[in-house]
Amino acid sequence: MSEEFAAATISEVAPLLRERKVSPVELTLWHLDRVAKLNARLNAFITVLGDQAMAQAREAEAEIARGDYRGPLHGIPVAIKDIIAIAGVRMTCGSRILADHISARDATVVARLRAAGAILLGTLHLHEFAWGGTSINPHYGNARNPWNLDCIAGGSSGGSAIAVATSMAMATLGTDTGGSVRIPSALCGTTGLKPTYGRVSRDGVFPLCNSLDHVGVLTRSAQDAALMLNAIAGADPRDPSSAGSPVPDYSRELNANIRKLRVGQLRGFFAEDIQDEIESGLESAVQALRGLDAQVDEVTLPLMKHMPGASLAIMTAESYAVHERMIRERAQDYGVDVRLRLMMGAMVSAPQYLKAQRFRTLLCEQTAEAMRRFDLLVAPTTAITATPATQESVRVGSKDLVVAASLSRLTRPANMTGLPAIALPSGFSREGLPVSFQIIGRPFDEATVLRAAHAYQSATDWHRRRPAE
Amino acid sequence: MSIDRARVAAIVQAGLDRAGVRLDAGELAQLEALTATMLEGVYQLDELNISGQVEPALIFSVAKPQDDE
Repeated sequence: MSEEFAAATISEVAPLLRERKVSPVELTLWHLDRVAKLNARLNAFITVLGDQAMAQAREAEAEIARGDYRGPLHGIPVAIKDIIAIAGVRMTCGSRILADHISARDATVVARLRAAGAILLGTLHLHEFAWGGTSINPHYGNARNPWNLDCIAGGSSGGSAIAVATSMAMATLGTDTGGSVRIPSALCGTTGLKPTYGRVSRDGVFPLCNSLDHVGVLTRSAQDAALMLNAIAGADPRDPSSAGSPVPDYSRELNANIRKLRVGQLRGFFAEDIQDEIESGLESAVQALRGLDAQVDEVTLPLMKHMPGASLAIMTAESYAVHERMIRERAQDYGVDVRLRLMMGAMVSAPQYLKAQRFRTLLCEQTAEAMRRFDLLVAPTTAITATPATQESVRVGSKDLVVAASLSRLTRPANMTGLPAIALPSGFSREGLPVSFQIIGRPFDEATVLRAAHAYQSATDWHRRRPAE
Repeated sequence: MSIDRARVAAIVQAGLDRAGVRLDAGELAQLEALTATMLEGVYQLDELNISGQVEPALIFSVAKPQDDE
């Protein structure tokens, strides 16, 4: 059985755990062995909780044996981005500044995973303070792309994507402020869901930008994303930004067909300056959705051309406000790229920040208007595939583009609008690097996003591909 | 839209002074370039003539959609 764990999803393993055909101890040990074997090469984990994970696994085994089965995450090994608090465990945020910080209690999402019976394997590598899309990190080394070790894994949740792609964990948590769940998912070939703003509590998560931060999940399938979201979604009195909207069972309608679902293929801003292979990946995904009888039509959002400027002003101003004191006292302890991004926020005036937030209101209105005609929107996740870690610009058509900007340009709109979005593998480049597209839904309609994603993955097998070892 | 380099340099220096942060010459040049790009994007929002009556998305919440069926 053990070798089959490498390709297995939670949805496949959970029934075996429930029926005691697989033991949580065996499953956890197998994953810890994977971490021991692969982590030095890939740099996905910052802290491995071997003893604690095994103790949790033994407890899960005993509970299941006596009939106290908690549900599909019971006995499932997962891992957590190292910016989300686990009680008694260091939370470095990928920084030197918080290298020795120990969390006093679990973040709400971690507590909910524990309550669901998940096994916590450890904390995962990230771009310093989640402020970047590459997971190049001067303090903990670079996270490495499992499809090509010379390439970036994407970020900021780089370790979260690597761990899932290489079967070091069955699912992981990440955070997404400008694409930080979806970008590494795209570059490493995993499924990455950013729910609606407010759907999942951010209590216990070190903030980057308060009005843009989301917690999301990285998995091997949309079906597994639904299981993870079931466990962590819902209002939380500890997080005033969390929403009180009822949480449906995201697994329940996953298998319903998507016939007649109205899908808007985003053009204009979303079709500019993207690599040919990314465009091909999107087109093949659109064909697959049409093959499932979805109705696909093109749509443009003209205000989107102003999104990058407004988004950058909000991100830099809000993140600077979080770090103002630390950067004054310890500027030299930040990596150069993050130090400069944070300092950009000191250059944004209050009127400029408000103007950007007013623009955001208009952008939300224009997007909502488009979504009256469509149930879902589709677009590429990133404009480019993974680039070598040493490369700062990339040639696309006749232009030389900045890698960091090309990674996040198409993911930031869902942060600005707060809409749910899932990144899904949709092919490979000539160099063998994953290509991805995203499905974006209406507010709090993760159920339709996941249903369409599951239908797509039932008709394709890109999400089943694994990197060579 | 091109942005006046001297003006950006002045904005950056004022921001660094306010923040109490010092950078070396190389980083200062990088920060000026990054800030110029960002401010260019912010100034372009002026093209939209956004009314002061538009509520800024300060306390951000995503409304549940109305049933449009």
